[in-house]
Amino acid sequence: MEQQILISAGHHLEYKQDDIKINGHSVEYRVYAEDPSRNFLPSIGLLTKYKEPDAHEHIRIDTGVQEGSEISMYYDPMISKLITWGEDRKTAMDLLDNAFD
Amino acid sequence: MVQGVAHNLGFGKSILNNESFMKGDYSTAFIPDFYPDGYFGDVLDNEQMKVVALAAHQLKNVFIGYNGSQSSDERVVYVTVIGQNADMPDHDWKVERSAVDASKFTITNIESNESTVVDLSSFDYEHNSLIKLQADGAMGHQTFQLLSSDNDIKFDFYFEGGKVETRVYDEA
Repeated sequence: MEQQILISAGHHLEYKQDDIKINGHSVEYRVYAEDPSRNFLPSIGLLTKYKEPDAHEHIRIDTGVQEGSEISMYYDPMISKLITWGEDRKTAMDLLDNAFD
Repeated sequence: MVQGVAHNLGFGKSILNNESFMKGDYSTAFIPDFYPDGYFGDVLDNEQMKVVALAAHQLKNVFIGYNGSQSSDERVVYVTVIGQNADMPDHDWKVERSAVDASKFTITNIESNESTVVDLSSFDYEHNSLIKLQADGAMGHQTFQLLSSDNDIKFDFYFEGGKVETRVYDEA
């Protein structure tokens, strides 16, 4: 973020491509209160149940809701960002698949 | 687990089952290419229906207050998996718990008369919805949800990203 601001003020990027190391694979799925069978129409109402996956060192969940929260028509109907990491893409995807359940 | 509003968790599971997606062979037109009419839940295959039928057997006993070991338990139940769309008929299953070994179940497809014996090592029902079962062989570990039930007969599940309706009876 700091680099973005510096660059916009005319500074040079301080990192070179070689400085950027690849560390496994990560995937993010945005959990939305949208109905895929109705052209992703937002769905409003109360989150009568909301349980996150069991804690796991390679699962991260960013959310602003909890059980009982209202998904209203006034905001983006995003429920959470579900992010997993693995040594490779398959591992990250498998962990995401488990987290979905 | 998300309930109360429509959500896209099942759609995510469906995407992970897409071979092109897993191979990385897709474009930004992935959704219109693979889901031109939207996503309505994937139709279950026989192996998946067995999981649902076994869970329905267990839940029926939970709901009528038996604990899986008494002689008064429903040892045999019949489970109809309701067709998920116009192309898929209903499927009838018989699920029988062994009289001598309470963890052994024989699951029979009534139409084809094919049977599978499954050893159920654990079955948990949490938060009035979350089902976790562990069995031997292909069934393995499964996690899914009970969405609703009526009169110990109608059990509706959320399984592999779609709603699956069942009817559970004591007799054929």
